[in-house]
Amino acid sequence: MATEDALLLEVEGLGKQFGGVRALEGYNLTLKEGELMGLIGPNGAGKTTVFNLITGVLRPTKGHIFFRGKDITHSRPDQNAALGMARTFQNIRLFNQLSVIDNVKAGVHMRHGAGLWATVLNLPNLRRSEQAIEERALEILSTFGLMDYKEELAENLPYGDQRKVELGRALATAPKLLLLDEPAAGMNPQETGEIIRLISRIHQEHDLTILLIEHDMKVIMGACESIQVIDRGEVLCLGTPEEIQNDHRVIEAYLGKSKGEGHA
Amino acid sequence: MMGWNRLRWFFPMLILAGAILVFVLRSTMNDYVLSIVCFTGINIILAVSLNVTNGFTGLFSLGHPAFMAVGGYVAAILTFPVARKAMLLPALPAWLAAQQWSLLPALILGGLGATFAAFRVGFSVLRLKGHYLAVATLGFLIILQVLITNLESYTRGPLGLNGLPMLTNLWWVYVWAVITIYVCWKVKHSSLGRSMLAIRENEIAAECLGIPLARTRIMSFALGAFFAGVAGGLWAHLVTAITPTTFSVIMAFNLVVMVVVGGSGSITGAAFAAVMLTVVVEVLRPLEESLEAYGISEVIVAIGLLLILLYRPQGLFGSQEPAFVVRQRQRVSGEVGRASSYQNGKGGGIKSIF
Repeated sequence: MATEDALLLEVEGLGKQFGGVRALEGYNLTLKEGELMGLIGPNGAGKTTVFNLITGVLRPTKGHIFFRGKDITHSRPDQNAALGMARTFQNIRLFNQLSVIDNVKAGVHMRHGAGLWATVLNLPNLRRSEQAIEERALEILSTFGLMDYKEELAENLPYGDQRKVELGRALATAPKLLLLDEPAAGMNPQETGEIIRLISRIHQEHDLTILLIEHDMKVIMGACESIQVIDRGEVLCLGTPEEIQNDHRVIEAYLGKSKGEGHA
Repeated sequence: MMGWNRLRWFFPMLILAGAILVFVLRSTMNDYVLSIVCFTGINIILAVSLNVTNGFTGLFSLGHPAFMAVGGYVAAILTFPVARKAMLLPALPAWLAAQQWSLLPALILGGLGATFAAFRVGFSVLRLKGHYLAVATLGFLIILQVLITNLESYTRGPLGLNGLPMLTNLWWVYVWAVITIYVCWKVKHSSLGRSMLAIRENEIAAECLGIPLARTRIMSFALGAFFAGVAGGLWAHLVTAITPTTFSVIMAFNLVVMVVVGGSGSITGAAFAAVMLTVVVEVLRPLEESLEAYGISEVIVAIGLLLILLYRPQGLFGSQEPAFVVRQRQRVSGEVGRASSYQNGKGGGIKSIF
């Protein structure tokens, strides 16, 4: 057994029911600090539900979630973010009518933003706070090669760059754990390659732990150290990319059983 | 360094110019015109403060007149001369009947009363969204009207309080309008304001970035309510009378129109729309009387709103402030040249107006 403090996220017996539909059942997950794990499964397997439960967007009906040693099963998303959790969304959720830099700055708010009184009374710490926010935001924009779009409204950006802004905005919260929901969805091969390199880079430079949902096998096989497969709301298996690729249960889940096997 | 100097002087010069204008108006215009200018100023306070709630945070509130009513009544009861209180409000508790405050503390307490009401209502109502929130705040407005009507020992019920001392003048309105615009401007161009706009744009994303939803929403609701309360007090001491029906659904509608026409989120837009709407209604009043076609101004305002919604749904100013002010802000941080891209987006329609 690894040492206790190296565990960043621990999920035990997580379950979620939407009315009569069981979206997730008995879900377990352990993430060590610094790990980059992929989460895959057929459509409707419950991958995004896992993200929504971990971040607190949805409340679980069963089970427990521990993050950095704290029980966060019933925490709100903003509390989890304060503890060091950040995410992106499958269908991009940018602040469309705000400029790119303001999108990123909104991410920095939690760590460096001034309160109402400081803002209204123009207290000295307001200037410091705005400076810190500006510096941090610019740093992230240059890491992501978005400086040219700085003042552009987020909705006017090409799709691939919108994904990058969302990733940058998540990184702006100075997270420990990053949950990426299909970061390469809808991207062309060149953009996909770029996003893989970006993810690997921030993984190392920012000392991050990453959980990644992806359909694009190139991304999963290229970036992840280990992969968890879920199907119909339950964990199917966990292993290295090579093990997963050759696991017959995974092939079945994606492609169905072959005729011969089915009758066997 | 020139840009820095210019920005440093831009707002003080603007405030000074406004003060000179107030001085000139007060020494040249008659009382009728001055009262119209005062109403315009009060409407600026109302529209700009409602813009924090509706425009920044995207909470569609129709409850602004309710906060005006709270502020108006609190201030009115506090400034009411002791002798008239004994006559009109005999049932008032002794400690309250003995009070006769001057305008400033009465206005501030009125504003705080409205803020308190906003906190109380906010906790139960702000989990609702869109239409549901609009209906709930409308319900609050109606409940408050009924409450005022029935709280006769404090408010004289449907009769209202009349013969209030006429304490409001253009200076009072001007100073409060400047404070309102300053505070809202400061909030909008700060991290706090960005977090409010983020909530308007996408709640779930904002929450996942660590922006506390409930707290930020209530803050913007209460901030708007404070200035509405102050405006209510100014209003009461300008009209010198206050009745429960003054703060009506029609007024809520007019205020929302100002925010929508000006552009949700734009302080300049809200102020501009407040001036336009007040002036249009006042200019049309003599026309209504000579044609004996009463209600024409409401019809024209409504048609104007329809046209804006059809052809410029984001409002005259979008979420932005005029380009020349924004450009100066950016020059300060040493980023000339990028400013123009601010206008390229949806909200940058300033050029078409000026």
